[in-house]
Amino acid sequence: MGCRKNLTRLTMAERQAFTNAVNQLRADGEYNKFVEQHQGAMGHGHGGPAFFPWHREYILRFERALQAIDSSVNLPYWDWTVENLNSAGTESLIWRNDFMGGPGAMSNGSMTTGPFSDWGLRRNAFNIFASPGTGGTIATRMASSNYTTFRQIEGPHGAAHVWVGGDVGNPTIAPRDPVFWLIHANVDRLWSEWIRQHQGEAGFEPFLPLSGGPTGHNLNDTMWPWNGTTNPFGMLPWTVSPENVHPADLLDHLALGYAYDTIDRECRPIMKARLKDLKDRQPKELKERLPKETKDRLPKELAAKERLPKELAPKEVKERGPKELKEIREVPLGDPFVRAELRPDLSEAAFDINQAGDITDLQDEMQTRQANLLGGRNPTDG
Amino acid sequence: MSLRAICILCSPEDKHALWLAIQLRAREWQVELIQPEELLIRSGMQLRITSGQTESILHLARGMTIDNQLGGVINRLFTLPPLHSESGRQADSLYLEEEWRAALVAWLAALDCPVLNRPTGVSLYGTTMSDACWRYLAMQTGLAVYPWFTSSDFAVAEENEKPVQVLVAGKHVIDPQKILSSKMHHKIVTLAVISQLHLCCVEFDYSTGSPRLLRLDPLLPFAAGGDTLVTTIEAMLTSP
Repeated sequence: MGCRKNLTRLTMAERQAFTNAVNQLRADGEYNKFVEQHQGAMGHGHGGPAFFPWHREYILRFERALQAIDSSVNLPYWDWTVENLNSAGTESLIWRNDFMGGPGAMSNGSMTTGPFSDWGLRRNAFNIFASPGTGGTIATRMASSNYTTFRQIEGPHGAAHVWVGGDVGNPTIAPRDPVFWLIHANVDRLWSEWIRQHQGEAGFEPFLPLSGGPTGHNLNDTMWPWNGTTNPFGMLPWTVSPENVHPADLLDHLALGYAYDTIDRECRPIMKARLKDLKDRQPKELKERLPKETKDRLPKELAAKERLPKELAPKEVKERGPKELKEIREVPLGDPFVRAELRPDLSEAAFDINQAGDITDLQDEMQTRQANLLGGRNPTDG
Repeated sequence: MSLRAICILCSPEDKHALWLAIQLRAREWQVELIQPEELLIRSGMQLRITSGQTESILHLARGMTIDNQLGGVINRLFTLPPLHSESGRQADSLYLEEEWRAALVAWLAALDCPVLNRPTGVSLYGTTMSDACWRYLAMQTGLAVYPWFTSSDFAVAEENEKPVQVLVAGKHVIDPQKILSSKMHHKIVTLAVISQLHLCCVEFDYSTGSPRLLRLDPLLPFAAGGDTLVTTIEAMLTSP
């Protein structure tokens, strides 16, 4: 069972494994096939009910292609509603030279940093300390148990694409930028979380329509291109052996062999492993302390004796003092994998199209108008 | 609305569209930014189609009315928010969505003023095609194109070099890096015209020192075109 984690929780090794596998897939000549499939599915996997299942199958196939190169790799996700900074707020954990690289150049949008610096990618010259936001809209959609309302998350997902801009901001070539996979892993996570949140409710359907929708958008329709047809989308099929993949096959992500760190206990062993690492890094005297359950079994008077006054504590504890011990404990929970030499050049973000005050003002004005229009409700009256 | 009044249809995240709005306002254009939600929610549309002409009036919830006096539209719509019907039936919601999409396409297609770009039946923001189709079409106009591969040994060289972007606005080509000859400018304009794109960005592979076309994109990055592009767009809006 693979665990898809928030990118901020990846270790250095996991980051490197992911970017290496993506680069290898491209060197093998397989990456562009995924780009072309997405381009062909503009009228199929977008703007309709199949948005979620189509992309679930699509990114799962991409993930499996990466795993064929390195079995340890799972897709991380980018929660674009928050800034994804380190705990000190001094650094972005996504727009770094050891992961997704940085923003595009202000002059022409060229992205020339990080593991994908030679891909010829373009991005907006965005502010790496900001985020596309949209958390409020997503929360509103998630609160509804109606799939038609929920799937309006396609809108805020588009905001993430447009915010990064360049290749991933262009729907027809979006997967050219590896950030695409992180955006869509997050979209997929939201679907899983929404199903988990509402599945006990009477009449709940994790996907609609059951029938009566456009071709490819009904629960038991087969989806292009995996069904091997050239119709109705008129694109070259990439499928040598047609398979019938239906939205109905894709409702349970656990059955597809992966889990999410936010909702699945299957991701916990990884957390346990990290806690074990933490324990190994603790000073000896901390490891030798009695486990809590043992302490609970001790008579009160014995347990009290363990709380030694400082002057009676072991020498090592006295020398280091409590502050340093606290820091040691906190390291793996904070930002263990930041190395100064890997920090991106922040100067690119200082002057860009996003920084122009007038543009920000216009954006605010439009977003206010949008909020007023929606009034916290869903569009119902056309 | 007056002839110096135009609409830009875009989302708040489309910073290039917002950049263009600021530039045009600085040149004394009245620019209204209209987002997809405004077109669909609590709006009203009247289309009057006769044998002689088509009239359209769009009422927005904020009280604005857009009629045939409009000076032009810059169309950056690429998705519409899903709707759901009061009946709660999924089939009704899908029907509603398709009807609204069709109505908007009809509205944009029927406006008398310049619409940059006009939608097609399958794409709200102008002609879109696969790279293979773009290259085939470009070949027909005499442009050198990057080879198209369909085999498993798919060429990756294309991605190893940064594509060079050239912007097309009407009959003008903005070629910041000056990679194209004037003959090629003419061919690119021809390609844009037969694709019915008034505005587009054309990407070229330049790894061999001679430009080979990769693809066209109707959503061009306005800011990359600078003042020259703004001036050209102004001219397109005033003399279609």
